[in-house]
Amino acid sequence: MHVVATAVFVALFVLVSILGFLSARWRRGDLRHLHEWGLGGRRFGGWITWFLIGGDLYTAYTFIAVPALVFGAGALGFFAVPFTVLVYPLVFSILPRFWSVTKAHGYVTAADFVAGRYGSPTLALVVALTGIVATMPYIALQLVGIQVVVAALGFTGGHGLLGDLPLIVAFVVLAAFTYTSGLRAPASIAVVKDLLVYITVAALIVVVPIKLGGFGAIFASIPRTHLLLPPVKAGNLGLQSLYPTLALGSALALMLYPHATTAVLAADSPKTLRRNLVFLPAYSMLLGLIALLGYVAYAAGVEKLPDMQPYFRRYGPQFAMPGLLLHFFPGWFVGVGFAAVAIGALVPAAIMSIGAANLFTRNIYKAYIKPGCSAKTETEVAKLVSLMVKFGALLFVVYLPVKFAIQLQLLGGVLVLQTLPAVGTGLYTRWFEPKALLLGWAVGLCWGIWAASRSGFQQSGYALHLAGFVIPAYIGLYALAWNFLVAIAATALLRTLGLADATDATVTADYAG
Amino acid sequence: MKPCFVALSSLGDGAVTPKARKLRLAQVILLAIPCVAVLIAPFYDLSAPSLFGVPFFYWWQLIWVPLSGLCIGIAYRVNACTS
Repeated sequence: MHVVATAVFVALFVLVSILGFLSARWRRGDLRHLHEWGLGGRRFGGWITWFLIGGDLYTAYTFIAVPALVFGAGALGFFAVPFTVLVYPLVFSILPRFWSVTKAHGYVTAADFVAGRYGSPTLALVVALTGIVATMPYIALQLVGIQVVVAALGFTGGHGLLGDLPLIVAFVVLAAFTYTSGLRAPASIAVVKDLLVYITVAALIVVVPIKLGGFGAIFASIPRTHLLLPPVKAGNLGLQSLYPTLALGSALALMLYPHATTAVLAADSPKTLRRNLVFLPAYSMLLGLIALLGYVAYAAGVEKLPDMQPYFRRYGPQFAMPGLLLHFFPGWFVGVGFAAVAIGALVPAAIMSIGAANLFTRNIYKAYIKPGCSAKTETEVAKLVSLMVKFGALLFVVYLPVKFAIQLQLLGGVLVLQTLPAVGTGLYTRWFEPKALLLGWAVGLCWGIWAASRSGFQQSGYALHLAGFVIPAYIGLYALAWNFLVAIAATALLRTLGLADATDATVTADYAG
Repeated sequence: MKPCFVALSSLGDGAVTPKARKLRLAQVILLAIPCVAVLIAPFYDLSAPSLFGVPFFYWWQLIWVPLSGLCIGIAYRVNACTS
């Protein structure tokens, strides 16, 4: 066990836990209302929004998985960079409209908007369910991030519940402060998290390459086949088409996840949101550097170091980034770096569970189980559901192999993308018919699950054979194409048959801002 | 690439002046530039020219991170003019 590292780790963890509980008092609001507990009262200004969105999108899993992918698969793993470049222009174009219409009608979730726009509780229900199902494995992966660093600190002892004790403690703390403080807790913790992450990544990206002889030497030691995407061969576009579609599909999916909605809606105005997006690419730079750490680890040969071998046997490439920290830095700094990962897991896990809880409460509980319940009951249900969601994620991690969480998260992206026609196009036009959107969603969903099952839920690409070409692309995007085709055809049909339904609770002016 | 061209947040507000329309188009183009730059994988999938030993593939994509911030910044200014 690494005593100094563990002491620093625990001290930082305790510090943010206290911060989490204290933040209930910050910009005090009536926490018995859902928009106060679940959206921080929509009063977050520029700085906090920046930290919140950044803390939300760049998760602990990012710090572990992105270098792992570059370490193991090479150039393909770098798709995380075009992905983050794509996200902000997309968000800038689309989400301020979403903010405005939700503010005008008091909507808290994307499904609330769908219910109002299309007058269809069923469509809202499927949007909500898709969001919740996609979010669960994502939360589980955050806990996996904690698990890896806790093991790296030397807690590899027991099995079963005892072995997972540190994880359970972290989970209880997370659950408790989310319950009491709502979205205010991750917002304030995000500030500390970012500070730790920036320090850790800066140290890693400066110190280790200097020891290894600079980035030129690092890139020179990577096999050529790893460095670039393989060229088009015999009409098969291969990674040349998979790479950009993965980036685009992931960027579109990200906007539709409930935790992204939650963070965006917590901003105090569309102007705050837009201004933030100018500076959010700073996080993408960080992500790019984190991705390069995969190559740094490869060049340093951490995998082959005798003291690292047991970890790599157990965690595979996921240990690339923790391995670098352990090998090149003194104990106290290892503690700081590992705390950055663990606290980096708490922030998005809290926001995700709040997002999922908002969806359940608004679009399942209030819509189907107990219509007309009071604002107080509504918030109590949301708090309880946020606990249940996290508990489910914990069971997931403790009892199922990590492999399942990763595969389900992959599938989650495909699923959540299928809500784009309802939520995304709904912001611009009411041309689509709710029934047609439902059908499109179902077709996209089934096709996506089928395509993913062909590789045993291992791969995110599907190879389309078209006119003598083989075009591999992200399953989610192909499924989305089916979804749109069906929705457009069915809408056209319903309209010609005169079965169109013009229900719409929103007006054009609601979207301006 | 298409989603990058999805019209901006103020689209569909009814009657617009030709000037406002032009400013909107300017925003769409500004936001599309970084998107296109990182989506054309076959065009940047090269090792040369390298920069400080970093292959083209990597520095081209990394350089679009601050450049996208710049594009969004200009789009923000343009947007502030329209509203």
